[in-house]
Amino acid sequence: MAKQVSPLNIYPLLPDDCESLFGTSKMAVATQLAGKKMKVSDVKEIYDKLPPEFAEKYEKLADLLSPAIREIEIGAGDKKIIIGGDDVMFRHTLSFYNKPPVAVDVWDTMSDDELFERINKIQSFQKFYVGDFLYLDMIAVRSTSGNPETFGKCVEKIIAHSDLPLILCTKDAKIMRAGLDAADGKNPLMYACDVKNRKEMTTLALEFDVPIVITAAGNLDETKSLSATLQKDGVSKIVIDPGTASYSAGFKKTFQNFIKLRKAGLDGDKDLAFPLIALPIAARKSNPRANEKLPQEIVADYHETITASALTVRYADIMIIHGLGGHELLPIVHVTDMIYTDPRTPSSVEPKLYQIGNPDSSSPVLFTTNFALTYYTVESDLASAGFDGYVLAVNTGGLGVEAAVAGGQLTAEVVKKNFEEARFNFEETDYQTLVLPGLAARLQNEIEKSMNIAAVVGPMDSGRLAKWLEENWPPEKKT
Amino acid sequence: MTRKMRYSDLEKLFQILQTEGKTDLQLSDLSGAKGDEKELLARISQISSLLGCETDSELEALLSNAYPVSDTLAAAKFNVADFTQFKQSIQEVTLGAGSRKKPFVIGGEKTMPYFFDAAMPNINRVTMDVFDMPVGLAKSVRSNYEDVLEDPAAWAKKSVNEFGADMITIHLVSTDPAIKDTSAKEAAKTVEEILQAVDVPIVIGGSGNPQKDPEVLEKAAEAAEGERALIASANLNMDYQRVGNAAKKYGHVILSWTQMDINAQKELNRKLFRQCGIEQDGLIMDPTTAALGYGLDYAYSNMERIRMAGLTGDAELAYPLSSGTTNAWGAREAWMIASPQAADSDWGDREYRGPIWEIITGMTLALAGNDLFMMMHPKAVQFLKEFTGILGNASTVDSEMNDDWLTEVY
Repeated sequence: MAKQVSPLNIYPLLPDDCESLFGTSKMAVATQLAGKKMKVSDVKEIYDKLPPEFAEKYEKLADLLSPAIREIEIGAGDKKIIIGGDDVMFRHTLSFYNKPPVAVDVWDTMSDDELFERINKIQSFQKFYVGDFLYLDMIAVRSTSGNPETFGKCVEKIIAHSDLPLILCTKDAKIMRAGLDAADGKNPLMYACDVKNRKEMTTLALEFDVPIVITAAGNLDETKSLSATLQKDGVSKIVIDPGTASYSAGFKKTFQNFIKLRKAGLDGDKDLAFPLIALPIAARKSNPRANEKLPQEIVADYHETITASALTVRYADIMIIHGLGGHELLPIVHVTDMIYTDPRTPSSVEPKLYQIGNPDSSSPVLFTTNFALTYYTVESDLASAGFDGYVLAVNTGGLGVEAAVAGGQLTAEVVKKNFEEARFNFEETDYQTLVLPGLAARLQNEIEKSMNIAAVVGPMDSGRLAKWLEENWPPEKKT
Repeated sequence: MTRKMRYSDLEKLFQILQTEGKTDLQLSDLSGAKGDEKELLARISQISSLLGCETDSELEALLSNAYPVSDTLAAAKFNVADFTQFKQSIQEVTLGAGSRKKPFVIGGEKTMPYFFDAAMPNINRVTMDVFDMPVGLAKSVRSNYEDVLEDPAAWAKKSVNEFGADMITIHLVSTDPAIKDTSAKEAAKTVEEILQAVDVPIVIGGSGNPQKDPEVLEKAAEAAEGERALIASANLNMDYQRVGNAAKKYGHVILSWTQMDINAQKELNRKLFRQCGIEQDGLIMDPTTAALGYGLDYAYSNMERIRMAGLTGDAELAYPLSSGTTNAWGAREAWMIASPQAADSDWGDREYRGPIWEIITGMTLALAGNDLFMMMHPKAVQFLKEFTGILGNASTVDSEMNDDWLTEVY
């Protein structure tokens, strides 16, 4: 089912003197390539310098290591996005690759003010997470005017205002051509080619050399047929729309179509080994039988968010949404991020003493664990509140505070040892006081005894740390 | 003013091209243009539009032939194979008996959740949290329970009658020596009150204090004898044997709780079966739930691995799964009024952010294989039940997949 390459298949294609070429053993190179820790393109340069017979070996290697699901590029320049590239049905058996970009829609009957306000919202959206930000990735332009000229103008305005990659959404080939003309050189994704407009859309995809979505309203025979026909006519950059139901009641068919198409693609059906596009935007309509005591707009946002999240888990490689509320965007950007995090990479930071801002002897001293999420949260909470201080990331093997206290990885003894290793001397601080995470409150007495300092218990959530420090720092001098 | 690019203008263009000696093309050959010639035609089209010319119909016809497209669709039949690696079904477990009028069964899956190659034998169920004393709750959760916070029985009733709970979890938090140190006997009384108040199955939860819980759960299990409750929970850091024995003795199901460690889960399950004589249909697993954004990826993959191990033949892991979905409320995104990070975009209204945090945390785990959800917010319960209900339903509603979204002005 899953395409997983054994290092033993790679081994014979590698040069013998890997030690001098790669600085590591032949088997280690084979293992890293098989586990995708090293990309085949990373070794191209070295192969180019090898004797001619290695050109063929490189081709074999590239073929062996090419992902089962094709990678498709959308956009151009810095913001170019690659989608697809997966090899497995279940993320823990390897990892999922190329986090699905989230596109938000705009439409060509918006006034300039509305359009620019919406684009600004899309491109300025950011959510802090683990030392970095999560963003929205693309703009999907819909033609609500039905007029090619209006659509083309709208695309022009968007391009002048934003460098995010585009999805041009219309089934009318004339409108699509106007959009493609306006977006020439920007490599937008065309949505979409169906059985009715196939000829015109195929021509456009070839003429403009851009990726194209094929769609058949959930009919899988027709989906396969479209893919086979387009490929025969010379189109290779295909994205498949499995069909997203417009009501939540049809969600089961949508969900199973995604699974069927991905499995068929991974099993070797070349017509279906392409990235899948989800349309949570089409799922906004609520089931007529549902009676919610929520505003209709919020129900629509919820349906869209649930659809987007579930389809991210099960194989969507790109998606279009409409809602821009925090209650929708926050869950969506977190789900896409977490499902595409490499499950083999422990999420931890180097356990050491970190300086936030420009601390001196009167600055607060805190500790947290080296679980990346915990550390970065504390660090940025302090930094964004303008605090200077010292934060020790205690080595808990990457566990969070609560789990590490419960599991015995975070004890007074461990805290003491980590401060010693960091050569931090409390005697040189004005207050000789350590601030404990609220979730490690139970270590207070023991830390005071074993480290001979004052230990005070901070808040349960570091989001409240800034306020807590304002009220509690500096502490009374330890006597 | 746009000027028409005429067919005859092409001759001039080609003269230029010829004088530069780059291409030698006969106009008469263009209709059957191939390869480089196609490329050239496309360029001409671009040049003419750059020069502000529109193409005339004759030239357009030529250009449209630049990319020959198949007249008919290729015949193709979609085919997909079943997941042959799944050989073992998950154990079915019944919750509720005795005076419980609405018992139900969970488990029994033969493939991964809602996959196409086998029907979901039992739908997902939700048990809603009730506490034996007022506790700190997120504002948007609390507002649903203001009138019942002091009365666990009324709280349970409200959850069943108004919010559609399939089951009630009574958390005996007041028994913790650090809180109220309520006696096991007192706690057992609370359990009896809950059993009187509702006719759905119940989960009996301790305070999480590993020293006190065995005694509390034992007394409570006795008070609920014959009702086939879920005893929450046994774990490796406590006298799990005492808890397991009580579950077995009084006819309950045991919740085997471990902390995101598939090997520890196997170990505890094995110990409960061997040392306490728990029956095959008397165990549910809780491998720990972390909130979205706070380690849900680990919880997800751990659960998916456990379920896949069960389906592919590991007899020690082929049991239904339970999730403390309520943990979603630990995420600051669920309850804080705004982001503490100055650089974050607007987080929006927390009234709407909280429930969806719980829904998505639960929904993600439903897709990993979770069967039973411990939840808090009525709206979260409603949406999770709606969507898992649609996915788990034996039949498929063929609702429209239309293009309305393409042209609709929202």
